[in-house]
Order: sequence, then structure tokens, then C-alpha cells
Amino acid sequence: MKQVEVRLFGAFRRYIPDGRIQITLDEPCSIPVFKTALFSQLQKLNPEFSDLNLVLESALADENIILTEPSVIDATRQLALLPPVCGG
Amino acid sequence: MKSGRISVQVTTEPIPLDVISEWPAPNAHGAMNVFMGLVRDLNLGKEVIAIEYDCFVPLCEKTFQIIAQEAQEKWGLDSDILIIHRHGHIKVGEPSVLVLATSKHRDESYRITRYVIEEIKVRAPIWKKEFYKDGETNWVRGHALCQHRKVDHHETRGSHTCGGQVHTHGPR
Repeated sequence: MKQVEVRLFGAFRRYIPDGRIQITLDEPCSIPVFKTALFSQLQKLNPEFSDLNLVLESALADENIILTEPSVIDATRQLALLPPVCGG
Repeated sequence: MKSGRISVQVTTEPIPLDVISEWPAPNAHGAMNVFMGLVRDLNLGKEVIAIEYDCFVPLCEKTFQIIAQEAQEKWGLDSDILIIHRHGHIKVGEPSVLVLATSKHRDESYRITRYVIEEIKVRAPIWKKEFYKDGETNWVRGHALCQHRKVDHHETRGSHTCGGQVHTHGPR
């Protein structure tokens, strides 16, 4: 099993103020499977978190690109979970 | 033809407005257009006193660079483009974003600034938390990056707003 660190931004900071969580991966997985694991971990760390839509509407990215399906998530990546954006 | 300059920056410091007068526009450029976003004191009927931007800086600056390159490809590879966006806590009335474009003629510089700010709003990894006079705070829920598609700004003029559903927090 390997750990993937995921940085959190925006509305997620309400639930995880330091903006970082660890997800344990048994094996490489798809974006939807990884988002399910993220939701479970967020709920585990903060039982007040119940906003599944926020996770589903969020994009996964690294420092260079936003990941699109069929990307494979593995333990070699440092990721960020990006909720809907509102710059400008 | 010499390639235009692109400069992008995310900063926690106030946007230095002297960059406008000091921008070294080439002599071949006859137009400079500047868009500046300011923090508004009202959103969805609530009195705003300040905002806080959260930002994934590395990806944000790369996104700004890509958007600026797209604008050059559309309206002039020799155009100059400057993008500065604030990060962190900002009071009402302060500048939140500055987009500057210089080009040979005014039409290109207008189009570039419009394109850049509209794309920033839907593509840049930036999030806005509003602080209200009554003590509440909201993370404004904007545009989902995983659903992004390119839009025709002539058809959707003014349609990109940060309104809609928000996360309501109690007083700080």
C-alpha cells in the first residue's frame, strides 16, 4: 500500500484547515475511484463533511496539468483537489 | 516579427499600479488596454467587507501563461500581455486582478484583455472567500474545472459570474 498526498483548496479548507490529506492506494486507480476514496477520507477526518457533489465537481491536478479521464492515479504523483474556481 | 512579451504573477502584495505607466510597450504598439477587477461591496444581497483568495500558485501561473499565449495566437503574436492576480486577504475597493495588453491597434488590445479575464474566471485555480458585515463567510462556488469547455465570448458576454451556490460559514 502506498500513500498519495492531496492538497486541498477553497471550500475544502473549511473541513481540513491545513489543506492536506493522505490517501492510501492499494493499486493504481481511475479518477472516479480515487474521488470515492477522497470523499471517504474527508468524512473520516471531519464527520461534518458530507458534500459529495463538491468532490465530484472538483478536478484533480498536479502542478502542471488538470487530469482528465482516463488518467491513472498512482502513488508517484503529488496531487491537488480543485473545487469549482472563482478568480478574477 | 518580434514575439510579444508575456508576464504573469500571483502576489500577496497590493497590485502595483505603476506597472501600467512603466510598461515598456514597443514603439510599434499604438494601443494599451487595461482591465482591473476590484473587490465589490455587495454580492447576492450581502454586504461584503473583504475577500480572501486561495490559489494553487504553480498551476495558476502556468494557466495564465497558456491563456496569454492563446490570446496572442488569436490577436497578434507580437502583442504584449501582463497578468497580475492577488492572493490572500483583500479589502473592498482594492484591485484583485490586472490584465494589460498592448498591440499595434486598439481592437486587438480590447479583445485580448476581454479574452484573458473571461478565461481566468473559468480556468485559473483560484477560489474566493467572502467576508460579510454580519460576521459570516462564504466560499463562492464558481466554475468546475473538470467540466470546462471553451466558450465564444461574443455569445456569452457577461455570462461568467461567480454567483450561485455558496458554502455558508458561521461568524468567525
